[in-house]
Formats: sequence, C-alpha cells, structure tokens
Amino acid sequence: MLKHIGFMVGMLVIALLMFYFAVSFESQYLESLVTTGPDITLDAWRELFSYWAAIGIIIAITAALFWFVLGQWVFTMNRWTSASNKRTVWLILGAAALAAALPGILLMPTVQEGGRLAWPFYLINNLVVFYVSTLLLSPSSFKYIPRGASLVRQWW
Amino acid sequence: MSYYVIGIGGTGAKCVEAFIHLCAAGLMPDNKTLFSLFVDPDGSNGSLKRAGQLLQNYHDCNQLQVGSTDLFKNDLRIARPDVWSPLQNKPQRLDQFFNYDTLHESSAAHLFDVLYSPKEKQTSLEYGFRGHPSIGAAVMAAAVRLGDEEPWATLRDQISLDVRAAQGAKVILFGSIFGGTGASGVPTIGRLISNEFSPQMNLDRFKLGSVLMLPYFSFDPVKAERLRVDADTFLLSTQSALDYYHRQDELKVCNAVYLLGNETLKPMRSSSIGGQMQENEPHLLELYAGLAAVHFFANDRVQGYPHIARELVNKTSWADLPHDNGFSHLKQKVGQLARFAFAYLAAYHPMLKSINDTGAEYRAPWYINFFKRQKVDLKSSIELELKHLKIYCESFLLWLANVEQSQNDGAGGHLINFNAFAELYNDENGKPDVRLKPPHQFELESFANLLLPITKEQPQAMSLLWERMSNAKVKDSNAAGTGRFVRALYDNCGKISQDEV
Repeated sequence: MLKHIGFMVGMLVIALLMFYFAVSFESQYLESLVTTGPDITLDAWRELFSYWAAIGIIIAITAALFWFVLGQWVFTMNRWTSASNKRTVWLILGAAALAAALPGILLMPTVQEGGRLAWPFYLINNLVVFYVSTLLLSPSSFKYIPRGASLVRQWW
Repeated sequence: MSYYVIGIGGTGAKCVEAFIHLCAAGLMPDNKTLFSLFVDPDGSNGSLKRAGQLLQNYHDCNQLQVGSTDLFKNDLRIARPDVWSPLQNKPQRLDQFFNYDTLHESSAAHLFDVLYSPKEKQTSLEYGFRGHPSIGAAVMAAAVRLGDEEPWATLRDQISLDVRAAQGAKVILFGSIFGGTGASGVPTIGRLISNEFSPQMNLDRFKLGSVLMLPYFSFDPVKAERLRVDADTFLLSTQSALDYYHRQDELKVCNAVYLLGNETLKPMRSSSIGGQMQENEPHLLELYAGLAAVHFFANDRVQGYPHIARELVNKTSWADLPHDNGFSHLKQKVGQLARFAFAYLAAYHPMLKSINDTGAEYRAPWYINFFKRQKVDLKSSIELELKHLKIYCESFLLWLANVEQSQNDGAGGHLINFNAFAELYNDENGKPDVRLKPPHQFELESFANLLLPITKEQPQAMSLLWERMSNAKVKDSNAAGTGRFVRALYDNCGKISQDEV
C-alpha cells in the first residue's frame, strides 16, 4: 500500500513541477511575445495564463491519478484477457488530459498579438503531466501500457 | 547417493506416477538423481503408458534452467528401454515360454502339470499375468538377468558405480500384492537385486525398499476372458501372498517394506484384462505410496514397525498424510505446485501464446522482463519448453483431481478443491470420470484455495500474482532462459500459498 501511495504522490510531484515550470518559465517566455492591447494588462494576462494552465494540469493529473486508481484497484487481472483493452483506456484518459487545454484556449481573453502562442503550452503541459506520470508511475500490472514505458521502466 | 525407482505392473506404474508428482513438487529430501524403470509384461497397458509419458514430460521440464529451487529439482534418468517385459522377444504363452512340449513325459513336465492348470499354461500372456502370481513368479525368475540385457545391465552398472564411489544407492520397488505382475515381481526382482549387492548392503551403501499395495480398487469382471483378474479374489490373493511372504521370509532382503491398503475398494472406471484399455485412474493410496518412497529416500534407517492410519474412517485430511517435515510442509509444497500449474494454464500460457500470435506484448510486463529483455525466443520456447510445461501442468492437475475424486463418497471435499479446474462427466459407458476444464473456464477466484479446507477467501489472488509477476526478479545465476520466467512464477505462487497453510 505504501508503494501505491508513493506512486500517487510521485504523480502529484510531477504535476507540481509542471505547474512551477508553467508559471516561472512559460509565462515569462510568453511575456516577451504577447502584446495585450488596451483591454487587459500583460500582468493580468499572465495571471490568467497561469490560472488556465493550472486548471489544465489539475485535470491532466486527475486523469493520471484516475488511471492509477483504475489500474491498481478497479481493473483486476484475474483474467489474462483483461489486459487487452487497457491501452485504449489509457489513450482515452490521455485524450481527456489534452482536452483539458480547451477551457484555456476558449476562455482566455483575446489580445492584439501572440495570444494563440499560449495554446501549444496548454497542450504540452497537459500532455507532459499525463504522459510522464503514467509513463513512470503506472500500476505494476499495467506499467508498460503507456507507449515507451518498456524502454524506461526497467527497475521498478 | 542416487535413487532408483522400479514400478512393477500397472499399479506399480501408478505409484511411480504419484511419486514423480511429489518429486516435481520438491518433496524429495535432496536433489540427487532419480533412475526409473518399469517392469510389465503388458507394455501397452494404459496406466503404464500414462506413467511413461509423465516421466518423459518430467524429464523435459527438468531441462528448464530454473536455478536452485524445489521445482523439478531431481534430475531423472529414464531406463532405455523404459519398460522391461519378461516376455520381450519370448513366447507369449507359459507352456511355450518353458518349452513344455519338449519336456515330454519327464518329471519336469509332470511338475509343470501339477503347478499350472491347462488354462494357465495355454492362455496368452500378452496382457500380463492376469492376477496369477504363480505364473509371474516363474516367468520373472527365469527372465530377469541382471547384467545380461538392457535395462538391467545399465541399472546394475549404475548402482555399482554409486556404491563403489561410496555414495551409496537406494532402490525402491512399487507393486501390488493382489495382482499378478506386482505380487510376483516385487519379491523376485528384490531378491535378484539384493543378491547382486549383498556385500554393499552389509556396508550400508545399498538399501532396498518395497512399497506393496494391498487391495484398494476393484473393477467389473471381463466376461469374455477365460483367465482373468477377478476383483472378488483380491482379498484372498492378498492373504495368500502375505502368508507366503511371511512363511518364505521373502521380504527379508528389504531394508524397509511399506504396506498400504484401504478399507473399501474403489471401483475403477474401465474393466480390461490389459492393453490401452487398462488405464486406471489415480487414487489417493498411490499418493501414500509416493510418500512412502519419499520417506524411504529421506531416512537412512527405517526401524521398527510404525503404523499409520487416518483419523476419520471416511475422510482423509492433510494432517493424515505423513511427511518427515510435517503435513503442513507437504501441503504447502503440493499447494504451491497446484497454484503454479493452475496459473500457468489459466493465464500465463494463453497470454504467451497470444503474444506469439498477435504481438501486443505491452499487455504482459513479465513477458517483457523475462523474455524480450533476456532475448528469449518465444516462438521456439512455445513449441518446446513451454509446451512441455503445459503438458506437465495438465497432468498434475488431472492427477490431483483424480486423487480427490478417488475418495469422494458423497461426504464432500477432503484434500483438493478440484472443481476449480476440473469437472465430473459420464464417459461413453455412463461411468463418472474427471476431466480438466478448458482453461478459460477455470474458477479463477479459487486460485488461492485449491487445497482444502478453504480458510480464507482470496478472490483477487490471480490479480495479485499478475502484479507481483510484473515486478518479479530472479536473483539466481543458475536460472536462465525460459527457466527464469518459470522460476519467478513458481516462487510467487509459493508466496500466495503461504497465506493459507
């Protein structure tokens, strides 16, 4: 049980690191590329960017944690055939994590220039949070379901 | 010290079958080599064939490099030929065997007439001695020549090597006392072997043991046959044989003798004088016979006249089964192998086959860890090692189911929860038989409770095993190839079974 809690805490740590990265580096980088115009100040836009980035990351990590809970406590491997459709489940949750970028994309106020540059950041943030946390910390029974996991998870 | 196992007759073969399963479960005291041989005039006997196939299968599985573990730990050397018949390349009738026609009116011919009825003299012995030890004893004594022909020559040479090297050798004979082949073969072969090694016996370098089965099964008479085994005479035959052994002190050549019997005779499914049709289902008493052999091999000196019996008349529990390390050790080992066989058939072999057929290897982390990363060729493994293992697992589970069924008198289960993997059905003659379920119909929730009594439900135990297998590591440099996977599965099945004993 401790191991399972450790894995979930690890996922949260990945999400926090991603959020810190978004706030500290992404927004700073975007500051140099975005021209807001009269309706909103740059600081306010940055705050909103961080807010929607946080929302996206929270949804992505929730999807990752949901994957962990499903794999650890809901999906049973009593039958070997149960492993067959799990990659589809993982892809659907990954799609949900990506879709979590939509609120930010749709609800961020329009600016004069460079506003759309935030979109790829939202998508990448969510994708990285979901993918890295499931890649490294999926439940043991499904640890190679995330693509590429068999290359990196050799020792745990 | 090497161990030699000789199964004499159909019942002897069934006892060897039980003994081999116990060896596979790791119940032998050490990992020394076993040497096996069957003696039967009826080489096509169904029970003998089944035991022979099991030995070959055990031998194949023993080639898996599983490292230092109890699973298949004893190397097995199968005699070549694996079955020796006293009638091999010889006339198949008693009168022809002893050239009765050439004796004319000599005193030998008259003695022959006194000892054997015309029916006994003229009946074909193609299917064995038909419950007539008087025929068997004469043929055996005339035919067994240690050193003259195979496999006896190899057996004698091998034992000689062992005793000269001061390692010593232990030989055990299995046979029934109520039939023809076993009743005549055990004392005759025992005497011949002990004569050969009597100096070494005195030096404690050679030991001989016998497991004699008293009546424990019956069958319907085969009506068309003139000379046949008749189950009604089993008790009388046994009484005569025991009386004869006692008066002649026939068994004094043995260092240990185990006599096993049952109060009730279990009706066997098939009635046949011999051949492939004579394939009798395994029985609980053969498990006792296997345990007797384990006891003989584990103890240097069997002293006194210990007597064991089960606690209740109609019920055998694990506590009734004797083992030097206690019944819980026996139960744990049998349970571990049962779980291993169950899990392998129900989940791991099908998954490996699916990966071999369709790919999608990411479904099974243990496959990537034990096969892909270790560069084990799954395709060839499926066709060889994994196939041998599958056959063994099937035979073990079916044997367990039959052992349980052999004592089923309506009082419910005793030792094995066989409904988890096997089912009763009526064969073409309307007689009840046991067969394995298809693996997808195994009751997976019963995985942790294959042995009785059920103490704690663990319906998710298969899932837990999958999880453990996904992270399993084998830190044994002697384990390699497919053997590493097998070892990991066996070890992890053991961890699950510990909860239950």
